[in-house]
Amino acid sequence: MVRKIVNAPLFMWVILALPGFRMTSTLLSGATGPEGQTTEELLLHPSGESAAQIMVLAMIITPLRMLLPQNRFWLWMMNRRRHIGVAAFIYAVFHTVLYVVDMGSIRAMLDEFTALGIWTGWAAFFIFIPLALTSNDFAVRKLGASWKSLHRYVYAAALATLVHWIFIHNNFGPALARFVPLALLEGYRLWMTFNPKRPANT
Amino acid sequence: MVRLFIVAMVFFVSGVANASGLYECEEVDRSTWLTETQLTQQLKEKGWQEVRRMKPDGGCWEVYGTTPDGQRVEGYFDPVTGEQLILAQRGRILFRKEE
Repeated sequence: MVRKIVNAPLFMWVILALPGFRMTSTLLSGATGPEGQTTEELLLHPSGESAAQIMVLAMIITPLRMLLPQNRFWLWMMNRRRHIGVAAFIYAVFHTVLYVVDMGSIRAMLDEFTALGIWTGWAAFFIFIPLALTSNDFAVRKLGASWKSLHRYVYAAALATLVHWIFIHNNFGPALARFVPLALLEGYRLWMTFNPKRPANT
Repeated sequence: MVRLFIVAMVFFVSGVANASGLYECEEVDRSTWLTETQLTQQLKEKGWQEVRRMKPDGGCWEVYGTTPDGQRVEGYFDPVTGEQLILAQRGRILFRKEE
């Protein structure tokens, strides 16, 4: 019974939607911040943070599978990785919509587009679009081997997200707290790929 | 090598994490500060399109708003005179008062 619930696609979706429930209630209540922030401004950071965190979550699965090959949790996660990636994209869409509403004019957005903290955010968002659109069985079949190379662009999106986060807040701490673990795991993965300990099978 | 990297990383992160406020103002008695309404008025007279909100930071008034040129900025102002000290657009410095 428990297994059935845990393995249902809906279960994963509910978990991934949890940060969204809170944001939706803030949005509906029209709450304003202690420093006079508007509702959009209040949700801007949490929505972006959720997108980034969930993207990192999707990205650490493979290296953790290499590190802990017997672990059933990460196998379970591996089987749902595309859902996780799509959830990251949905939060990114919400984040972008909030930004557009908050800015209120194309002119103001264009004016700051060239700021390092801004164009990197747009870059990450636009890289996310084709990745999200191809995160389904049909696209995986259709694209074949090129699916993997397309989805490697997530590394570019991750780098852009990191720069976006750091420069928008003038602050390294919180962004690096999420990205340093990812970098370490990716480092491990690369090291394992190029220095396989297993004896050659030939 | 790995240890050296981690140590360097920790120093780097903690060093930069401290540098969050963009400007420091001289400490003066709060009673001499312009009120929010007064500073908003002053900025509106200078042509600011919008003064969204402000808060005290580093002994200055930190203002979020839209300049006469339509740029969404974060600015630091002298709390007594209302003089513009620094203007930043998403972390990009647009103006800094000469020391």
